[in-house]
Amino acid sequence: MKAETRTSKVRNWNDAQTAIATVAIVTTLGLWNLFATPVKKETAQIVQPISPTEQQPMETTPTPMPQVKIIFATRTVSQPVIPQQRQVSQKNINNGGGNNGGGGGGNNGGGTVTQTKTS
Amino acid sequence: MLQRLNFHAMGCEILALIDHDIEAPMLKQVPIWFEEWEQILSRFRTNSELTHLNMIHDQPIQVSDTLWDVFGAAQKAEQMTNGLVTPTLLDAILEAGYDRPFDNLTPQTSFKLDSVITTTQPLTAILANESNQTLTLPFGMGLDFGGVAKGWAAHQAMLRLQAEGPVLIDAAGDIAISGPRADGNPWKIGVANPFKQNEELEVLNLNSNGVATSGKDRRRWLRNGILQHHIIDPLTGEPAETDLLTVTVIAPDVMQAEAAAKAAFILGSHAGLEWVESHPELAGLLILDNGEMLYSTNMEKYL
Repeated sequence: MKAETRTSKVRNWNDAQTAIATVAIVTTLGLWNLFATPVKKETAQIVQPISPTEQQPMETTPTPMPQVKIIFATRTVSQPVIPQQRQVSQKNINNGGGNNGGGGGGNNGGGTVTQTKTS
Repeated sequence: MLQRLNFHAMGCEILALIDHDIEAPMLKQVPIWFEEWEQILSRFRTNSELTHLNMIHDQPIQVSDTLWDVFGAAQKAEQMTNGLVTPTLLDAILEAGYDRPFDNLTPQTSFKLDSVITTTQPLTAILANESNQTLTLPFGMGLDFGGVAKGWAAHQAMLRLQAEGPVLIDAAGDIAISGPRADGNPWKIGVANPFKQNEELEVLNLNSNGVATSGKDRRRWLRNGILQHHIIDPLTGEPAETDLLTVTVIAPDVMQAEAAAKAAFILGSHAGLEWVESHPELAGLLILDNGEMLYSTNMEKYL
């Protein structure tokens, strides 16, 4: 009889320990969820923009093509400019020759003979 | 019929064109001329005349006709650009790590621009004696003729070949033209699209003159996340801070065009366009980082 009572007491204490542990875990998770998540998001936002590559040579980066041609009609640059719609990006694609043309007669007619570019 | 010759010299691709039906033997001389000039004017060759000149200070050194001529062209460029384009930035360029031809720099090579130069000695600091053709460099000064030498070489080659027929010399985008083509039409020169290879933004019709382009669309690198390029502003000793990507200028000759394009690039879009407009002999096309294109008034004549 005594042995049964003792076993029952031990089981009750174990149940109580389990219940306390469960409550503690649930509370911890709840508080963590409540306060920790926004801070974590902010940290991620700060870290994200840092570029890992430095001092590496860069190739020309494609950027949006020019859509507007601005002509300064007078010598004063502060005067209003006249934008003209002109598809400059779609015209005069070099169709051969250029600096790599090698032998032959070059680009007579409508084509260009060479290009001016940054050296 | 175009007689054409391509070759590599002065760290770039050179194109020589003569508009003539009969083969022009002198065309084959052009690479030899460029080699001679490079041997005199290169700062990358340890046995060049320029390297020898840069090693000796505070005493007069007699120089060759070629070096004397290029020195004169550099003086004109400096005067025209109010000092923005000067060959006296050698120390700044070396300090930046640009100490060998760009082709030989490995991709891992980094540039440092830690030392800021607040003042740059002008070319007038050099004692130039015309009677005996001597130059005396002050202590600490070194010369790097760079684009001026390339433009001068293109111009000289054009002058030497023009007896053979209409000539065009293209030194990696710096172009000298002797006159209209054999049929009387202008030469058609494309302005390269800096955003897209092999595409042209405009076609220029040139009967003579010179045209050149400067920009930061090539020869650039990142330092501490900031884009750097090879055109140094003499006022800061650092790569010019500018909203321009490239500048193309047409001028009476290619040397002026090269200097003017560089000066306008350093000045930026607003002041650069204003500066080009203030020189009636110039026409300019300025392309901004955002793709906007600014045309000077005179540019309309060539489109």
